[in-house]
Amino acid sequence: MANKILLVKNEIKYMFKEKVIILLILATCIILAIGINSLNMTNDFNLFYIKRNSSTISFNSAKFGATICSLLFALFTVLKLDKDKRKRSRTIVESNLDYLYIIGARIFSIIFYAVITTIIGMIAVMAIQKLIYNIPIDISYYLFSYLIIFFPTLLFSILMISGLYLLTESLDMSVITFGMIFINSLESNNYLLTWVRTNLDIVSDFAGIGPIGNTIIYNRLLWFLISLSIFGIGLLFRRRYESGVGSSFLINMKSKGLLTLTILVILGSGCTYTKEPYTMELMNDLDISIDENICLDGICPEIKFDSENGEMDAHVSYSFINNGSNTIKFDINDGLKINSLKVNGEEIVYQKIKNKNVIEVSIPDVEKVNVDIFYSGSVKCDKNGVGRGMPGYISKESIYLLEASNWIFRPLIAEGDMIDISGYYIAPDYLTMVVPGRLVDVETIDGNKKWIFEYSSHTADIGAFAAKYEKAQIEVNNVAVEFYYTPKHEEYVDNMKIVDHIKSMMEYYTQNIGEYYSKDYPLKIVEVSIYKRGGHSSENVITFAENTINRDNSMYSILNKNNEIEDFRKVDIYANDLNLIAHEVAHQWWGTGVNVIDDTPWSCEGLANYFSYKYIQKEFGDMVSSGVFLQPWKYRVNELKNYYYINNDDMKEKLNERFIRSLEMEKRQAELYYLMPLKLLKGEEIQGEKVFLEGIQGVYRRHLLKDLTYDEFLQEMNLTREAIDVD
Amino acid sequence: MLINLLRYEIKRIVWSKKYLYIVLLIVASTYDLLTRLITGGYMGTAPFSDWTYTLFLNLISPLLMVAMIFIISNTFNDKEMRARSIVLSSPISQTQYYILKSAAVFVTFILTSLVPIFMSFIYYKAMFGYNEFGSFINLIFVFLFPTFIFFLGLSMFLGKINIKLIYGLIPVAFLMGALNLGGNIIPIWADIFGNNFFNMYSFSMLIGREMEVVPFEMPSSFIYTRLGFILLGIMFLVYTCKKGEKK
Repeated sequence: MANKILLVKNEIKYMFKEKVIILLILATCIILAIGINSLNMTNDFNLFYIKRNSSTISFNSAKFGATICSLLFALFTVLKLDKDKRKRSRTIVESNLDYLYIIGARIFSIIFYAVITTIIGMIAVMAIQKLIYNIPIDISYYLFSYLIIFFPTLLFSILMISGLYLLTESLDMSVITFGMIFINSLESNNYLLTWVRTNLDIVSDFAGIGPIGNTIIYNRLLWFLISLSIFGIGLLFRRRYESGVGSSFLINMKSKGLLTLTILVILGSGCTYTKEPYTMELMNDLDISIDENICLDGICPEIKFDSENGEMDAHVSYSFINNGSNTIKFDINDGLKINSLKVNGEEIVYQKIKNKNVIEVSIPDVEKVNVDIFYSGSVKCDKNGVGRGMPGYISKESIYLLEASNWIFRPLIAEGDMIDISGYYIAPDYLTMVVPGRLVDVETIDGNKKWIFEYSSHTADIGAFAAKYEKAQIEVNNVAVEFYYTPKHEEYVDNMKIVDHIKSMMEYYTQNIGEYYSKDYPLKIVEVSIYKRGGHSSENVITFAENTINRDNSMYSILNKNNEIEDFRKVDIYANDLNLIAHEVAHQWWGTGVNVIDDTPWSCEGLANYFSYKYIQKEFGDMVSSGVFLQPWKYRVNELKNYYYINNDDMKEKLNERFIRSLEMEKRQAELYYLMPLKLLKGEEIQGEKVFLEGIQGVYRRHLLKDLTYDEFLQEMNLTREAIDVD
Repeated sequence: MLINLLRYEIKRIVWSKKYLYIVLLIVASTYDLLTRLITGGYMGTAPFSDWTYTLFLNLISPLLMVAMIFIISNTFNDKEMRARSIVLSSPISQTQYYILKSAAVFVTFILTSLVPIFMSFIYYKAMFGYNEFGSFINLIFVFLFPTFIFFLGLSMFLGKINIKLIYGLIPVAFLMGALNLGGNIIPIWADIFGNNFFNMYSFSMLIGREMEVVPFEMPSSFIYTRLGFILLGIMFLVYTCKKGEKK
């Protein structure tokens, strides 16, 4: 044992004397320093000028550094392992001691230097943050970025390339194979496969690492097992003196410990991959079939959130009107386990539909059917959406649950004219809960708060949002607006006059569309984390991702004292951010106020985009609104019209189902979000802005809290499909 | 005699387990790229459009180039260095020796590139019944060859100084080929693989296009940079041939 330690010590000393390792550490520090600004080097326009703080600086540097340094360390490792072969000194070494010790000592020494590099690199980035940017350091983000992201990537590279080298006994083959594994990781969207730099774009300043922490750690666990498997296989095929692959393998297999361990880690990798507990395949709207014979009359969700453990406990009561069906299907979330299910008070057994997250419940042939479901667990999200498009999560710092996550199991039935919704959420008292509809009461019970709410809606879309919020109460034309944002972003909210803009949006929409749909329900505008990009609106709650109000101080220079544009470089980003809020606010008129019946390209998205565009045009003028919105819309519509697979429908059979679905979604989105507002602008051009907006006001008035179809809209606006056709 | 030596050199490279392994990796990688990424077409263009084919060439390039750099590195390994003193004592000059080595790698490169190229042609024919490959030849010459000649020259040049420098080139080649860093970070004259140019150019030509088939016409500035890479590669090669051996 003492000899082995001495061997490692000597190897460490010897490597240090070679000076290459010093160069490697220096190069790493430079790469990490460059990485601080890597977010602005991407094509991700929405993340430009994000405010620098410990989370962004540490994560961006670690992610950028991991990408490059993993290759550098892999190359360094393989060159070290290949040294004796190149120098033809292996036989001499092998005559003195087991060559495995030398391999072990070298790999151990390189891992030792990877640890040293991680520590030095982390300190260097912290020094830059403190001394150059003068930003206080939050060590927890550094520990996460460097110990969970940066160092493990180096470790996996070292283990994988060592395994590949031992397996192939060739520098070329091992490096090229490693390169392929590396490139595959960069190209993948599946969070499990992105071992080099993870598939996170950014760490949230709003929600911290809580919502994604588990998935990142799971990714690291999986790749630790995979790299150990590769290393183990490499050791099993390690060439023995004067022996080929086969005979070496037979000799190495005699080491029962190594063989058992390798088999165990291979099985472990497979199990870890297949039994992944955090994600699921979410159904998209195109796959859902609705039973028109039953309609939903009321829902009563009673939910208790355990934010410390990221879990929830639910009892949801549904009231249905049955017109002849004998089953009801529910779209569920796979992470939530059903404890009990009752139909009209009697416990029954449900069936899970194979390969789908749908359950089927038998119901009696009576008019009124009540279903009570008791379930609990953690909400799962889509595998490709981890960190970017998570429709639901529960974490210590925040709760974000959109209806799309099926956290309230969604009955696949027709929705009634009005659905009565009432219930409560129980959450720890340090969190401010934003409930849909009207907040009836808040009760404090044993360190928790019970948020009781009620409302009526034409949809069963129920959301829940919570965090440590600052609340701004705004009154616009007798409508109460509650704006919830994190105190961390208060400075930006104040400097960029976000509250004034919200007021201005409300006034603009009231003036040009009509009164806000309800006097009873306040409009709630809520900042949420970047883990779900963009915005969302359901009932009287709208949300938008934190990047909208978490930009760098340099953005302040775009407005002067008179609130006029000073810096045109950043104005596009600012206009885009405000457009997101304006779009979601417009959904309060189109979507919540008027139930716009989808008939592609007709939907509430087109109307919301048209009005947010009009608002931005009013605020920033034609140049900005046209450059940032109008032109890109036209481009996107034109582009999709010329897509090969869209024009050659018969060729779609060459594609896999997933690709066809994503293409159809892409097309549908372009029609809803870009083509329809262009059609509305064409209508405006035909009739003149004044007449067109007066027409829209009439439509809104007549259809408030009712349905609106495309044909009704066209008829009441004196337009035809042909007239507003966009060529 | 030189032709015989060249034939021998090529055979030595190609007739090895290592080369077979590289070819197998290229076959696997090509199959994956064609079935996973190329079938869908690039930015909505046809899977057999010039745009998609350029994407295919860009995706396969890093692997091809790194494989070639490794083959070149063999020219400077210890075993080869020992043999060189014997070779150079024969009537072969240093220039002839390096020309011979470079020519062997060049032919190997052609043979190796033909694997993904033929695979893609077969795939297009079998999947889409498409067989008008004429325009692809042009793209192959513009995107693959200058990159290869540049790396060939640079690797020879670096190898002659110190073989470790060639190993340093490998991560650079991988990263430059695999990562798209955007037009502002990698200027067009340093865009060895042409992938950053392709990304920016396709964005400017395909976003908002008003026709299904947008011709892929490469701007002359890009062609000049490709010629520049060829020239640089040749200059490096000439320098390698002319510079005296280290004692």
